[in-house]
Amino acid sequence: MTRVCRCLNCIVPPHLLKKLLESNNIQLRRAALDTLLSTAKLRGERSVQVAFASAATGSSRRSIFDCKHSTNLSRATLARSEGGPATRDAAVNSAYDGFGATSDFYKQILHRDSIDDRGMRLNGYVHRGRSYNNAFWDGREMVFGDGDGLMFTDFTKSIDVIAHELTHGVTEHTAGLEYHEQSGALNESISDVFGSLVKQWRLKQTAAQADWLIGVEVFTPGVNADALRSMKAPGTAYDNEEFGKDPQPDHMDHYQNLPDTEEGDNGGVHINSGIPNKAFFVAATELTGFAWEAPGHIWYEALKASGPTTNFQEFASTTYAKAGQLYGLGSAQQKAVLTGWREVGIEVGSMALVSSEGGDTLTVLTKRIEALSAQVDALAQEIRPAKAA
Amino acid sequence: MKATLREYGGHIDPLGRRAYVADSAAMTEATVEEFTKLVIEAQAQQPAADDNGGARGGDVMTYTINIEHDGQSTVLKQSDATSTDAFTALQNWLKRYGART
Repeated sequence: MTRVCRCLNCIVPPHLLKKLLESNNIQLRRAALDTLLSTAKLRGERSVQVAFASAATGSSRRSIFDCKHSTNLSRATLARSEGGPATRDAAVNSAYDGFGATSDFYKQILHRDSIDDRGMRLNGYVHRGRSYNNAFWDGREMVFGDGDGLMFTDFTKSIDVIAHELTHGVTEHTAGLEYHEQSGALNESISDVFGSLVKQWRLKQTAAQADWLIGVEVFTPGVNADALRSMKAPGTAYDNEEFGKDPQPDHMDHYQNLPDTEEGDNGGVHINSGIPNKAFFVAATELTGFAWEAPGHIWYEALKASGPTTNFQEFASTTYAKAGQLYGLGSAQQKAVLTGWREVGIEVGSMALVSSEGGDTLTVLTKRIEALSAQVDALAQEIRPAKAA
Repeated sequence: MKATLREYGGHIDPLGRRAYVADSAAMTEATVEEFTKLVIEAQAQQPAADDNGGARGGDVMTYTINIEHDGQSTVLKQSDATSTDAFTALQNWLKRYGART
């Protein structure tokens, strides 16, 4: 990343740097943020990035920047800001509208004020690079490619992809799920869940009416693919010569143990997310009605109650507990959650045992009985001298 | 000289099953000159080791370009969050002129 105005390091006091974070000039804003982050890095305060990103608040005010096909975000120019008129650039308007819909969803349905729940400014970058087939959240902003025009088109065309990226920010500010292995796959799944819910909410679709597909619009018409992922039927979103077959599993029996490297998709974060995705779909359709109501609230409360290393079993148990707290023990909502996880091979409720112990139910119970027996033996050894005295 | 680009992560093909390969043995002299210049510039602009492609923000892609020359191999590695202009230029060139494998 090209850094600008390094001289700011030594002559601008911190309060002015914070003020510059609110500037409309991207170069000034990035320079200020880089400077603050560099200073913080020297102090070893890694978490400061989240705090300073939040400092640029403004009731989730939107700013959309045009990268003009560069990969260097510091060269992007402001194309549309909050309240500004629509531009001639469809990608700019789509990103602006998508951020608005997602922000409204979080505010109206989940009573959350932007990514950080403190009105964090929403910065989006469109037209990144050339033929760039992706969209991402980099910890500060959301970035969208135009696609190569052959297989993929503009990623801002998909409201669920936009909401997916923004939700990565929400996850970072709540559970902070680490982006690898099961916690990473949960991170991806949470983005798919709320990405799909934003789309369903916008279209006023019930769980039965929704397509439960992520990124339908990013493929060009000639490509034989339904979407990037299917929450309803993981592993069926595409099957063609160009990309092969959708690798997502829909059950723990098919969980893919991939290396925790870039080559292994950080332990399969985009692969194994199919499992919790399917669990949410089943829970939502068990209940009928709108998925953003009870299922969405249960998943959101579970996200807020989770931590960086939460795994599938722990998250499943949390959703079950939250369903009981929100809607009552043994309620239809809690039963739907149980069914959802059971369909993908994860037991919750009275049958659930802590997954970190490993093994099936009988094995875990046997281990627990052995451990308890050992504790009783040890206790007996301790009290024997006392009794003798 | 041979260069192989691989892309990992992101929404598309997260396991990086596709690669782009360019081999100077099959190029014209002018193309070899352009290719060599891009490789040299990309190598010169590699970020510091601790900034090298390790970004794990949601859906961030990482890239490796493996360069083989005179029996030696060098791997350049960057991510969406760290890409230098020179790396991007080489990456775009390989995607345009390299053979898909």
